Amino acid sequence: MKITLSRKLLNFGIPVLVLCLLPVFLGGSPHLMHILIMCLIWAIVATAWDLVIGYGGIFSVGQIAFFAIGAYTSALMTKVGVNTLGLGISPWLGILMAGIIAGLVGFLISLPCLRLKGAYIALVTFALHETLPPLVRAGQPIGTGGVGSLVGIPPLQLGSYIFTPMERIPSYWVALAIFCGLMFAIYKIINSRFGLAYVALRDDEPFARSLGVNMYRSQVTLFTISAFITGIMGGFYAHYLGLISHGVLGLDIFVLVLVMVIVGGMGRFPGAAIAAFIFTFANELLRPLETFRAIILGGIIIAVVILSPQGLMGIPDLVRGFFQRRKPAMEEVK
Amino acid sequence: MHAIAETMVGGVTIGAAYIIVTLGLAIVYGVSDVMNFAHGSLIMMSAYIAWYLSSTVLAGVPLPVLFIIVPPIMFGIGMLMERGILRPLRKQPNWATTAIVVTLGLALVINNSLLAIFGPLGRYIPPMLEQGITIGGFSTTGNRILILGVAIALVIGLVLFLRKTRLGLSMRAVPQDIVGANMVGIPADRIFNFTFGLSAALAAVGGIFMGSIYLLAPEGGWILFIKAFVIVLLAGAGSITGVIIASFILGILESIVQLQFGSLWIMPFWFIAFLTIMSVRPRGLFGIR
Repeated sequence: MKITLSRKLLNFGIPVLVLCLLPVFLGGSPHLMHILIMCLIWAIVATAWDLVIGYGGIFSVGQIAFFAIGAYTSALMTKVGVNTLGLGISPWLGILMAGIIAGLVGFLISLPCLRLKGAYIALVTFALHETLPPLVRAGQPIGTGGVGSLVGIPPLQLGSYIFTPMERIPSYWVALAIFCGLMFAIYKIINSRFGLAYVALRDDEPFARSLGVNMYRSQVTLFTISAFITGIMGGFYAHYLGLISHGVLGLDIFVLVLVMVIVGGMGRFPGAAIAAFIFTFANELLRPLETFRAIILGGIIIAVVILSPQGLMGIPDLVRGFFQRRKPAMEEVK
Repeated sequence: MHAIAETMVGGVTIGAAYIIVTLGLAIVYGVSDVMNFAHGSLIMMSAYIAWYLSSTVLAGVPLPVLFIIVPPIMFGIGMLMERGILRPLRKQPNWATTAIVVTLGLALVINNSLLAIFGPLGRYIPPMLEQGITIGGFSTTGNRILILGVAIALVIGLVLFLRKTRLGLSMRAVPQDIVGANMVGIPADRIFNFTFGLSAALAAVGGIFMGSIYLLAPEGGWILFIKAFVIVLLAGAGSITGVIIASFILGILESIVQLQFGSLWIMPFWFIAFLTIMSVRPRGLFGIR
């Protein structure tokens, strides 16, 4: 028991320690810190998406929509001045509201959506994604910025300290704290009785149902939790950058985060987060290639799905399978 | 009154164009249960091939010749696609989802390759029949009538093929009972392979027409796919009757919305119509499974 406990502590402690020390080692150049913060943000969004796709077996494509809903909610609720809602709540509360509103939208959309199957779920969640840009454009009077950007979102504040976009390292600590909290929450969900129920549902639906798992209710819960977590990250993103535009709903980000989920390994817990770090950096490095970047990302998606369906997390299995000259375990339930 | 009739005529033409674009997607979905996210990209790809041929090698040759040359090329590409990236997946559990992911990756590759090769500028295939025609007080173009005619011909041809030929009957047998089909000697792999080829060939026909109605743009494949996606799901499990009805409903709706609210609101209205119909018929208009 003692050994497993310290093992768990190491599994969490070492990555957290490395992440804490990163700014020290990397010198904290603003550009680099920005990329690292984006890594943390996408890691959570990708992991929350994986919760739905990988563990829930629900092919939803609405995750970036929840991210945008969170970002806009928090921005609209905290900003004051002309053409705003004029609520002016604290950014911390705004981030919480971002999660709650995104979760609520997720809950409402999942009620009809999860009665459907397969491609139908993809279409309904995609419809949510596609409905947002016209809404943002029509929302000009309440301060969504219309066709432009929503600017002047108040930064986070702790006591008298203000996290300005110029000072990246303090923002990094906040991002890291949120990251650790949410990753731990997701870990707990996956390893709870509910988490096991999802894996059972995904792998053998009739059997899981026979054991008394309420499929519809479990999936709605999972979908809502995932939307809530994503919304929180969206709220943080808005306050960190200080501006948000409908560009966040573009194909670029959508594809990038989807690649993280797939390459990380669908339904293989920290995989999506690891892939988020790799691909946020890779995306920056590939930026000069412009059009070819998307071709490369598309090629990676195809190659990973065919060669290693479990993504990065499946590579150890593949290697082991290669040496033992037998088929790698395709479906491995933790 | 006249304006209403004109809108309806416009809607029917749009619907006919959607039938041509959607049939290929519906057939693959009906036979193999794969939602091919690269279908729109295949359409754009064939439109670009047609444009390239008609402006270089085949300059001056009558345009209908494109219908003899481009579909066979796309047929081969469709078969390659099935063999290369979809067949390896069929061994995996949960393969309908991984098929969506892999075709999404392919769509990215095709769209951006088109962008890299042809650039972002819009291209245009000259319409087949340019002169305007007036029938019973309605003015329309010959191209629109041609599209309606081709849509009807394709549907009739496809239905006859699926009902009367051995190959067509096999294509209907495989999704109903793949084990049973194998037992009576229908090779499922070959049927899937042929279906993807046929689907890509149909995409080619759609692509040539789309290129003569709209400007070609590398990103245009997405919106075509999304529209075809809505129509196929509204139709229900690859039903051809469903595709016809759904195309006309959404085509007429598009025509009305365009006139009343502007083109920005077409997709929101489509989704509202889709959700309304789905809440009454959860398996689509003519879906059985």
